[in-house]
Amino acid sequence: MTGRAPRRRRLAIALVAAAPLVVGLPGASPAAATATPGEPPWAELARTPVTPDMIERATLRLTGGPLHLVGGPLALVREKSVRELARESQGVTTLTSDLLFGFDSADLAPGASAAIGEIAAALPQGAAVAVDGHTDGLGGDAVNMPLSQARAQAVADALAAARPDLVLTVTGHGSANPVAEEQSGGHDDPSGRALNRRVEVRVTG
Amino acid sequence: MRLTHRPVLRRALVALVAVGAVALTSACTGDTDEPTPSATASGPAAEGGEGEQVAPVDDVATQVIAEQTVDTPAGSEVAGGEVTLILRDVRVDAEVLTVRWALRWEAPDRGDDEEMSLFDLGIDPVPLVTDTTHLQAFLPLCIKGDWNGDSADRDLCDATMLASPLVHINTKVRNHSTLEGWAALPAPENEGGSLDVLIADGLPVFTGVTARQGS
Repeated sequence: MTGRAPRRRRLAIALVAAAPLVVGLPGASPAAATATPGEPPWAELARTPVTPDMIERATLRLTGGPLHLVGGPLALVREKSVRELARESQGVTTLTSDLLFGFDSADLAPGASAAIGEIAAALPQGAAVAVDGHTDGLGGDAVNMPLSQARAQAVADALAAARPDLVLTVTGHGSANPVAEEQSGGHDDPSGRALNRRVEVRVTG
Repeated sequence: MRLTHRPVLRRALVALVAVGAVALTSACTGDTDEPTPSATASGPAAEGGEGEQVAPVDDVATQVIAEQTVDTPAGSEVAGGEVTLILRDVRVDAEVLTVRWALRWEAPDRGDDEEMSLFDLGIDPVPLVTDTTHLQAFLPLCIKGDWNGDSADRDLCDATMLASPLVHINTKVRNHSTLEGWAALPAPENEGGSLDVLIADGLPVFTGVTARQGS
């Protein structure tokens, strides 16, 4: 058996599943027109003739081709929902602390040293490198200053192990230099706090 | 290998349609106890013969991979009691990873018909899956915005993420009842990694989870 038939079958299953979403749920009858305000205008919808164009736009094709769902395709971009270990911007490599360390810890996670080693390999020979640790705003300076220093030191140690020629300057800043707001609309924003938990590596000379 | 957007979009849509249909067959309101599997959830009738089309099977509606019970977090109300967080399924279909979970609120000191919103309970579900083997973290796919962007972009992602429940202020849980939730995230680029699954900030993490491969 080729891989094509099962794939078509799976797609067919998905289409069967999609049918109620596309054409409306079985209970969506004109009788529901007297429902509470805010519900779709069932009676009006029931009177609307279904045109070939509507079917065309709402049909998923087994053979592929562009999707033309009503309202346009969803703009799903994988990269916007992925946090990588390292991201680069304007000469600064920002390491995501949540991927390097456990909660309230400065011990590198398994595999982190190797990943930092790869970053070290790209640095110039004998370069002066600043390693700066940052935390989020929870916990206060008494916790965050030593934690940020220890995490920066752990990264620096991994850099030095891979590249003994580097001249490293290690600094812990606590929560003094956030890159993201930790409150949004008066509410706590965990995704902002996560962005602030980081170690930055930059070549200074 | 970095994936292009178009295949991701197409496959994500197909996978999400299946997820949506499955979600429709599940109890998502928190008004009922454990959801009942659909009539086709088991038995030979669900298998289908060669060439037949079969309805999606919600085979994890009552599954429990792991569960943890903690004191109810402090929210806008002192709701009291405990919440039990249940991890039902972590599954990869093409480029989409789907997390199914449930949350049960038990407050013996409150009436059986009392309701609390997730906001009252101090719970704002934004599932986060961390691949601790390959050092990547994944948040729900969103129609608008960017989890790695500024505050406005993150707010947009939060408001348009492919997840349920989406609005924790309006989503209510009745005492002794179970709320079912799901989220669609990017699938890890590498198979077989050890995953940590966090359903909402402040709730306990499920560690060492392995995603099962779907269709």
